[in-house]
Amino acid sequence: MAKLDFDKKINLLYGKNGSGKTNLLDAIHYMSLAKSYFSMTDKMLIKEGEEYLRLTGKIQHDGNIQSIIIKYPLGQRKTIEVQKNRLNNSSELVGVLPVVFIAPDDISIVNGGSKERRDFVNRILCQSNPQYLRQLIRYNRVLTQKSSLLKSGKIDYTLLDTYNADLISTGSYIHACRKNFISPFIDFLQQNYADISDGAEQIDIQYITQYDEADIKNAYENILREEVYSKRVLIGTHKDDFDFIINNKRLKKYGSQGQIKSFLYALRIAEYTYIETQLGKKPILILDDFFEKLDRSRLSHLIEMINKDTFEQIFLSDTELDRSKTLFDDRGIDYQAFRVIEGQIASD
Amino acid sequence: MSYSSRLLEEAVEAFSRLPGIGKKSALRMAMYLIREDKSEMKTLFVEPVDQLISNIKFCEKCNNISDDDVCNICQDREHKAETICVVQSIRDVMAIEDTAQYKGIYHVLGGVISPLDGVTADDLNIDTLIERAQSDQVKEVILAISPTIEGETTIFYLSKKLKEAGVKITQLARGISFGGELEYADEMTLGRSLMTRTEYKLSEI
Repeated sequence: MAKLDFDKKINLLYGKNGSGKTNLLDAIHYMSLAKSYFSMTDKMLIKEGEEYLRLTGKIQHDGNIQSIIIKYPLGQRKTIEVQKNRLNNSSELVGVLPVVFIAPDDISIVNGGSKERRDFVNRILCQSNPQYLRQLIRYNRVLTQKSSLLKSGKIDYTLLDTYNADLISTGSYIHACRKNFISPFIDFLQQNYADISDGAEQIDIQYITQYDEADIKNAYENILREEVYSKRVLIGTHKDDFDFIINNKRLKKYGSQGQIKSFLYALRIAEYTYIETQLGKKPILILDDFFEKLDRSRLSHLIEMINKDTFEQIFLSDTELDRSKTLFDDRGIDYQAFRVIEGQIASD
Repeated sequence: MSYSSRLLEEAVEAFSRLPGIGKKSALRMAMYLIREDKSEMKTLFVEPVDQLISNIKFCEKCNNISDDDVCNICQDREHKAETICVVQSIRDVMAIEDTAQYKGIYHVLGGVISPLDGVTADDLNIDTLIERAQSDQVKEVILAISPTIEGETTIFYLSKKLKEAGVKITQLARGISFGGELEYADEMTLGRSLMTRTEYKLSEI
């Protein structure tokens, strides 16, 4: 067990690989979204041989202090308390402590399947709009039910219509949110990208969807026979994708390593700005292994933004203290350093 | 646990299969039965359990638990009942009866539609409900089903199926609970309560 008092601005965690830096950063993510950033189940987060996990956080913001307590005893229900009030659902926690997490395996957002990009957009929208999260949970649940019905082969058209009506209503909401999100988000993205590159490239995101609001009911009806025949769900917003574009070409295929890295960085800072604009409060920024991940131009962009007070609280991790120390000291930036050794953490 | 008696062990095994009963409680129950008067224990426990298992029936009209082919509620109210209250389980019948606010008949579905858990519409008592709703005497069907995602699917499904019966279809109101405070109500409940607000009537107080 550890009890830590963090600096309200920059917190630097340093220690060797495998010392537990990322675990601590993930704990902050867990306190924000009630789940791990690294798609680990709650069970996997409990230390081997132990029977429960417990996270307690006190958040000070604008003179208010809020407490969050998360408990998960193995094999029981996870409980979350905010200000001693027990939440009915972990989705109610989302938005209390918004967070943007930048991790080394980010590249999967570009190279991976459409799910990675949907997850990325979902995480932004869920944190900026609690209604989106509720509709998404409902959509996914009804989708699983429809999919089980199709797989069972016991075809009940009234029930399929029932599921479709529900999916159309929640799906339309999700679709509208994604549509409204994309254009302001692209503005932030292009601004950030221009700041860190020479400004020669044109970048864009295209929202790929089968969704056409005017004709959605017909589309669901027309594909129904085929769904029954193939025993699979063939239509819906869960098939949406987002194409990342550079100079009118797909980044995934035609982008250089450098372009992809710049794009990813710009994407994350745009995520930060978008959530901040929506919520009217600054998220916590987490940068795992930041020195390894960011090259000179991105590092100096980050420093510039820190100097401009773009961010509030930041958590950074690095394997070595010296280079980060030099980086901040040279520019007169204050920070609090924490040493992490074999899962133990202490402030310097 | 190690037992000196196989009979005791079997009894403990049996009790611990009951919901909510662990090995320790099961042992305490078995020990109680041994300690007390034999014939008294037989009349108190063995006979009622045996009777329950052998003779319990499900009402052929509403599927409620019953001693006879038709349950008490259906026998007493069926001939004059204009409303059918549709519930998931027998426990919901008991809960609604305890309110003493309802004088109509019931229909127990036996669950909600959830293909994920292997429950399709065919597994529930839906056909018999539609048959009952078609009787001229029935004017209203109340869908008293929990507002979970699966519950709402079931409500929507039933209302589609009941359309032809030409009855009024209603569902339970969703809103702020009695003695509850507004600031602790979740947004969805509060939003819904506002949307479906009711007119204030002095006579109701």
